[in-house]
Amino acid sequence: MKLTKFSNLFLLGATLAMTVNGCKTKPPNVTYLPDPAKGPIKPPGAFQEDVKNTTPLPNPNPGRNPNGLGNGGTVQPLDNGSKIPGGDGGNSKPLVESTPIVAAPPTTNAAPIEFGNGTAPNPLGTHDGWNANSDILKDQSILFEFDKSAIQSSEQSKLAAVADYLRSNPTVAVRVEGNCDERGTSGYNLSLGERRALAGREYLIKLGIDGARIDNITWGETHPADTGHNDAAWAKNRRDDFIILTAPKP
Amino acid sequence: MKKLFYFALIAASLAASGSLPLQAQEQPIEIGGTASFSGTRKPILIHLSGFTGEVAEVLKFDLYVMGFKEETSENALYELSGSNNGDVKAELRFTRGGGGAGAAGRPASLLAQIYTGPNARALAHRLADDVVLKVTGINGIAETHIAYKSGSGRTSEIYIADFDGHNAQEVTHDHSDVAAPCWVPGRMALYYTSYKLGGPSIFYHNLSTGERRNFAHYGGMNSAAAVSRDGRRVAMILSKTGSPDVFVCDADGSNLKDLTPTREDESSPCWSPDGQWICFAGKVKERRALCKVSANGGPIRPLETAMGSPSEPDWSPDGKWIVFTSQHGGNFDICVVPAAGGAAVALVSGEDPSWAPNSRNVIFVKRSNGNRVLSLLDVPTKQVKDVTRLSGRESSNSQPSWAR
Repeated sequence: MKLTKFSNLFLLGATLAMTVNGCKTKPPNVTYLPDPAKGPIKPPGAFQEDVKNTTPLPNPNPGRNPNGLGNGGTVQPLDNGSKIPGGDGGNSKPLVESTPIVAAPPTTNAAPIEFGNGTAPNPLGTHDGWNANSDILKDQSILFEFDKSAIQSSEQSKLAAVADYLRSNPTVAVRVEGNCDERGTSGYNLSLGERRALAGREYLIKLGIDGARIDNITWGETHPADTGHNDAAWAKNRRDDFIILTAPKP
Repeated sequence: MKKLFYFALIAASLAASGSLPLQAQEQPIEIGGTASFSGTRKPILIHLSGFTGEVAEVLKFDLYVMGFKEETSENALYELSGSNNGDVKAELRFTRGGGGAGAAGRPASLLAQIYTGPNARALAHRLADDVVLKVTGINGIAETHIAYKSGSGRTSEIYIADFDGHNAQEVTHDHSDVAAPCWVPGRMALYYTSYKLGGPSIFYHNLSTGERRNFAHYGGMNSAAAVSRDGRRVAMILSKTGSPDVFVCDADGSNLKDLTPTREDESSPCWSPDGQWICFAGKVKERRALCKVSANGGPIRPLETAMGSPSEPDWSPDGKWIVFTSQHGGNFDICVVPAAGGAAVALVSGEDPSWAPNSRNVIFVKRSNGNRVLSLLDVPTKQVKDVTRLSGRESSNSQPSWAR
């Protein structure tokens, strides 16, 4: 009993300590990312897709509602469990016609999405439409410890090689792609992959590379380098890949 | 259990005296700890007779998911009898395990209805919900819907389906990667993450009209949208400040605010039903923790769970509980903790939970041979049923969101 009380006190203390300290505040060396398009969020409708050619899918509304029985369905009280009541309707509920679901239009064989004023947004960074080459720096992918996004000292020479390549080829840009192994939850891994991509980006900036030449993206756990389900595969999957981007020929 | 026993006595005497049909109630959910709720309840024993084929299958599935268990007529507390020749006729009685023919004679009827309509599944779902409402006093979830990610690796699409996986429909066909679908409460609309434009950006998709717009496409990551119950505010993860943070903005994208200006990576924000708080997965002193922050900004407060590596929180619609994933090594558990924090209870192996509108059921993800399967959990009884998988395309389904 005493032990329980003591551990409760300890828990309370730990909670208070964490409350006071909170999460870490942002250090000054975190760099802001360039907005892909001017005016980050367009007014509603600016990115609206053309829905004229979509096929409505029949489906009831979500949640408990009168539509669940489909068109023409009714519920009526049973008279003594046997007879069906007459045409007076009893307690039957009127059923509203269900709302169709309309899927987004397919984009493979269709015209591209219209983006209002024609400036397509580019969450990747500022190098939309550039040619991507994943071979050039494929040996420079850097690895991370489980659940960490700090650059390991063993990986610094690869980052130096990436920086050297960028210095030697001043017209190219690079995309840092952050990846995770499958052992995290998917929502968490998307954020962790982003943190890893940003760690790579920050390190390159420290080595003197202009941040405007560096895009970043997180793939979470969806782009494993090794599809195995073991320690060796996971170690290869916790990584940043460096993709060289070259401007398209005019 | 004692309560239930006394209640059974009272109910039986009422039935014996031939009073009006009973509005039987399950014992109320007690506040004050998970011990009284999560994984501690006995299932409600029911006997089904007279139903066949798909109607019988649906009834059994739905009632099991919502905390019932089939028993022999002698031992069941409730008897659901009927038929399904075209129409579905059903009668529910409280039998106290008397098999419907005890000394007191034919027990009073709690429900006697005829369900008419072209879709037998829909009729059976409605009947299951009516039974649940009569017995527990709480709306069932048999007519609700889910959204989820289908597919894995570099190609996946957003789907919606009935809560049991039937009537699945593809919402996107972008041949891109998607993530984190989220219903707008009470609306036929979703937010989700898509790589359609390159990196992860957030789309709003009106399912009634097909209108789709890019809701957030700042530099870096845009993901994990969560909508407040009134639909007016959206929480999400953006990394435009150089680190993934929880942001909140109005539904039109205005009044954007960084609620967690940390260097750490935050993920999976969710709203308290009153719209005051946002709970998310963050880090405290390098250790992963659930945290909450006022939706208007303020200090980040850790939420004690006493569980390792928590992530993916979801706040129950009644405000009382937070369900989340705890990770240990490569394994995951679905856990429930009081919304104020405390000792969480681990219920079942799985991840990425989402509450049903009844604050009782949870849909979550199981890993199986490299694929992911959606599964339904009844939190009080720990009863679990896998969501039916209907087509080859859906070999891997994950990231469910329950419409509520």
